[in-house]
Amino acid sequence: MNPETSPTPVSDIQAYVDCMAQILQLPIPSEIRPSVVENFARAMAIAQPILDFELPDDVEAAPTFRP
Amino acid sequence: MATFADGLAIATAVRQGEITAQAVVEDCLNTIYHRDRALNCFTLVATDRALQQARALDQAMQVGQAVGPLAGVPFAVKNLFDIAEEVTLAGSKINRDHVPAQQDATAITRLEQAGAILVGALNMDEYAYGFVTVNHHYGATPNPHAPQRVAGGSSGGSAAAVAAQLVPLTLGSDTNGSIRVPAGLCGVYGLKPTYGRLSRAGAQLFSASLDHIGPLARSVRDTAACFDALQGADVRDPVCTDQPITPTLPALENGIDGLKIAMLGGHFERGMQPEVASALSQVIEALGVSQRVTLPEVERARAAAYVITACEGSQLHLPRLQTRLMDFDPATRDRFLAGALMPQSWYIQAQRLRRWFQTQVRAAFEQVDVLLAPTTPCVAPFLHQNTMPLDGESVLVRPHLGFYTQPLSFIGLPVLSVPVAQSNSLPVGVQIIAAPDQEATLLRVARWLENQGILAPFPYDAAVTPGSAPPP
Repeated sequence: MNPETSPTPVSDIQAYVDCMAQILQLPIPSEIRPSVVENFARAMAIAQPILDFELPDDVEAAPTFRP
Repeated sequence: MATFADGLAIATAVRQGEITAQAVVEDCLNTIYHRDRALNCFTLVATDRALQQARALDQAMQVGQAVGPLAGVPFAVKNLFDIAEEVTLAGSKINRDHVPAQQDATAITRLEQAGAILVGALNMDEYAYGFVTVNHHYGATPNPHAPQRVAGGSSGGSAAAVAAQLVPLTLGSDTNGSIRVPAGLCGVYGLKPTYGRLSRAGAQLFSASLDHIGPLARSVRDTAACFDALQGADVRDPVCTDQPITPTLPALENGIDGLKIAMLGGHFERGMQPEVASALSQVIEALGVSQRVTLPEVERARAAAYVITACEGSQLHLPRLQTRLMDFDPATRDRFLAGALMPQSWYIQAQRLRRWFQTQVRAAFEQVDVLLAPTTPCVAPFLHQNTMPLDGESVLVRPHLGFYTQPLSFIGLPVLSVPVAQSNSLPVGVQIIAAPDQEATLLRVARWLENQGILAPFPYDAAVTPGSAPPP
């Protein structure tokens, strides 16, 4: 977690999940919503150190495309 | 199949006329029919096709035609490989509604061209998203050596079928460890080749940036022979290499002289159980390894592999998540949903980190030829075990089985998980790792260790799995 940022409140994660699910037309039933929110919160915690890692601007994404 | 030490022993007997391919295949099918009910490895047994292939091979030999190096060797594939005229399940219920495959996966075609005979398809985690092969639709594939424990996954059927001697050779796929983890936990060899080295055409993708296919076997020479048969360019796979085929089998006995071998430090020394540490020490001592290489930012590499997998896998399945959500396996469903919601900045940063990490590891391979690390932090967990201790913390079992495998497949290095011969322990695997395209080196090192008696497939005792006793 970036030291300047405070942890994202669970209510914000719930709101994000609901909003994105609606935009992506994902009908998440209420009985599995807590688990999806929990999985997303876990993913956030995993992703944060990647986002905090400073990469030089000239580092390109890795996928290969050969025209 | 237990009468032959490995697949090449079968091929030799067939080529020398000591046994027909038909007799081999009939014996193999009979073994599967009698023993798989308890082992739950197979989701499809291709009886007619296998017998036809076997008879055709025997007839070809009778008229003096040359047969391939794997003549008469039965093999089976993880059920994400296309088999012509069969529906490719990829461990899902949803795919049952798909039309049958029009042609075989390239890997199946190539093994059959080498004389091997397809006998069926094998259980896996749904859409390859798991490390345990506990499948909601098709049941768990238990560990053949300890049926209350997992076989590992997602190629669990592929590892267990070889471990229980149902077939000598199988194919699996590996995105974050899905060949190496079950190979390690079941005590067999599992090769994840260099990214792009073998064609994935006709194998259902999971996360295309990270997907590989490869063999699981009971000997180093079978692994090498299968890898050699699978090599070659393929326009059907956009990332498959067009470099020339370089057989590994001829150099297998070249020994380890001149190779610089080191163990991986840092992340790869953390969190392992005593059985794992002991197996790793055995390999390190046998090879006389004293050097240690520590790679930077391994935890971030592992996190980035997780993000790429979740984003690509979820995007691939988005239409099914939108329309068939409750037909997914509950074990994959909520993770796929979470992956579908991830912002693009996570994904692209993870892909950029992949390039950065590749550059760091490339520098390490200027100093050494081969690296060593454990395959999993623990022996096979129990089927219903949720957490395990790792580095003094209680962590979830399922994601952490890939603790040591995930950072290596992230940058596409070739890795062979080898079964270390240990008494008084469940199976434990060690990863032998090389620079890209150096599969021959991995196999040479493994063969040398096998010759020293350090490596061996975990001995199978059919009495361990009730109902799986050999046929009379």
